[in-house]
Amino acid sequence: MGRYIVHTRALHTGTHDPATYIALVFALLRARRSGILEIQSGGICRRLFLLDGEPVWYDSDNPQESLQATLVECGLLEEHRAERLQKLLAAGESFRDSVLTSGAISHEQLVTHEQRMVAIGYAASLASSDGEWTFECCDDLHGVDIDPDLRMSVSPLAALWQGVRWHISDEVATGLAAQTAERQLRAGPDLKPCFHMLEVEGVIAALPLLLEEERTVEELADQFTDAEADLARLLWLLDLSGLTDGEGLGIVVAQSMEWAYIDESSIDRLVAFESWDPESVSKAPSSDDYEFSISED
Amino acid sequence: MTGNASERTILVIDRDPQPVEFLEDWFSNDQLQVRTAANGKAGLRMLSEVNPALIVLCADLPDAFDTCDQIRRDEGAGDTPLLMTAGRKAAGPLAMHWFGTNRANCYARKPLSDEFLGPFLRDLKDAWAVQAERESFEAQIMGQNKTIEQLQAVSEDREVLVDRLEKLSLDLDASVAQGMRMQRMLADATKAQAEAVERAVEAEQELELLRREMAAAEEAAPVPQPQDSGDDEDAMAATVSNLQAEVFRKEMVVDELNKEVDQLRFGMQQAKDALDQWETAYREVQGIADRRSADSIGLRELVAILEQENKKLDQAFEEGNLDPQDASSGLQEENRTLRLEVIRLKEEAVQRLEQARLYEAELRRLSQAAHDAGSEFAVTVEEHAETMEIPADEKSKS
Repeated sequence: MGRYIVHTRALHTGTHDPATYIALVFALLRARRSGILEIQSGGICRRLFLLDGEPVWYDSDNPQESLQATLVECGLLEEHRAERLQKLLAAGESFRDSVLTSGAISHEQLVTHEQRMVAIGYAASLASSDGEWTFECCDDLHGVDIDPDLRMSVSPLAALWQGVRWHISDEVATGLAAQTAERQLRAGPDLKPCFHMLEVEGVIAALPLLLEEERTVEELADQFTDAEADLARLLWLLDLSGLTDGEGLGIVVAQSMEWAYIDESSIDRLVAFESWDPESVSKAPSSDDYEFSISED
Repeated sequence: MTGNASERTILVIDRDPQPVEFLEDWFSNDQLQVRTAANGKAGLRMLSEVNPALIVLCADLPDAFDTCDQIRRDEGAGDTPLLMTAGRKAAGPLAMHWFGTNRANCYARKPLSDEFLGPFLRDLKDAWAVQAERESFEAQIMGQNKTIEQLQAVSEDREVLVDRLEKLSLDLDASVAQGMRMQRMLADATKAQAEAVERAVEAEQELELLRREMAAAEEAAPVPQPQDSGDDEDAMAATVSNLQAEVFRKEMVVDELNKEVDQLRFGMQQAKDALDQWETAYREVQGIADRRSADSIGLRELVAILEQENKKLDQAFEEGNLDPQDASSGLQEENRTLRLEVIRLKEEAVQRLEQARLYEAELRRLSQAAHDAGSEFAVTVEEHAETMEIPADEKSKS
């Protein structure tokens, strides 16, 4: 359950699961909230730095997600060289500075890699089925104060869609589709302007056209028989993000994210802390609200 | 802290000359100075010396984030607008710095350009203009408060003068009472003079009678005959001699009375002159007192108007109607008018105070003159009153 914590910066916390995560990052994106979203799951802490709701940096204490590991994994740096650079680090020197100073990788290559890592990190928490999330609001931080040339160019919707495709297995996706086969769906007002930002490829890119009229999940599945799993993933994503209308989980989740649209700093000014009921402010959905399981690969 | 409006300074902590060139170009029409420091340590040392209106800090310097942290913790410069620049796309430390509590106000990529920084710098200039406006307004308010205080001091001086005038007015009342007493004495003296004249007339009549008696006696006296007895002749001669002596004495008394009457007339004339002088002085003093009273009321009204206007300005100031786009020009105009009015009123008050001092001196002089004239008159009347007793006694003797 989410709760409001009195702090110099407003903090929101809740139970983590993939559906909640989708709804959470969408709500923050829609509300253009700046802050630090921290996901604690399986002994790993991931931190997403959101500027006006968009990811601008990602940080994780998972060794596999470190710069050294990802550079090696992506083939930008040889393993033995990475290890030698790590060993030669001076006091206070970062591995990043060392890599650049050594000339092993150019600054442009490094920035491109980091940008990719931010996009991957944005959706990395979809791989975790449980945990805790915390959002530390930075309401006085606005994108207009940061030069766009300094920011990472990450498309959050495309990153999320890629994450859903990577982390939600075919079995889970088709299982979800089967559970909701009779549900009626149609395009929400935001679907058309947002859909292209998801960068959906293949036949299911035509989904918005079909959703201009109300259809059941089953009817849609009949239209895209060759991409049934991706269709199920996409419908799940659209439902949770509130881009489609219908009596689904999306409404429940979206309602639970109403806190994201409230500026806590103004609340702090209006409400005395003594009379404040913190339990009534934010309630994130828990996995008890729906049946869900994900692949751990 | 945003520096002094008349001499603003921008502190650039960077080895790269481009930000300095850009800022000097951007603020070429403004009176400001750009100071540079090669690193954070030097920049922090310079911070307390120059009191900058804007700090530009290069994030690529090794101690940039520590420097930013220290600037924000600084008691004096903590609120100074801070622009952080970076030569490359932000990596983790810089991106995470955006989310810190001690961050910069704005982050720009080098080379600095008007495209991104224009709005920030324009806002900054606007803020400086508003601040300068505010400082000027505060100075004007302070100046007006000082003028009001001076006027109040003048007003207090006037109050003291009014008190002194009231005291003088009481003295004047006492002088009036003395004048009335003198008038009564003058009336008594006039009556005494009339009586003395009457007595002189009677004395002259008596003298005339005696002269006639003497003439009759001389006519009645027989021509000396050789056969007449010498006793009758001697008796007649003695009678004539007595009558002549009586006539002589009476003539002396009449002369004395006439002399006294003349002196009394002269004294009365002097007393009348003194009374006239006193009455003139009294009327002048009364006129001055009336004008002073009117002036004092006028001055109090002026001070009240000034205080009211000052309150209006204070209220406008507290309500923050200082937006230079709309309110400040009107306020400035109003303020200028008010200031001129204050100066005029102050000059008027000073003139009136000077005039009041002259009035007071004149009043003192006239009051003293009236007092002296009254005293002199009283002495003269008393002296004559004493002198006039003599003929009365003499008459009773005769």
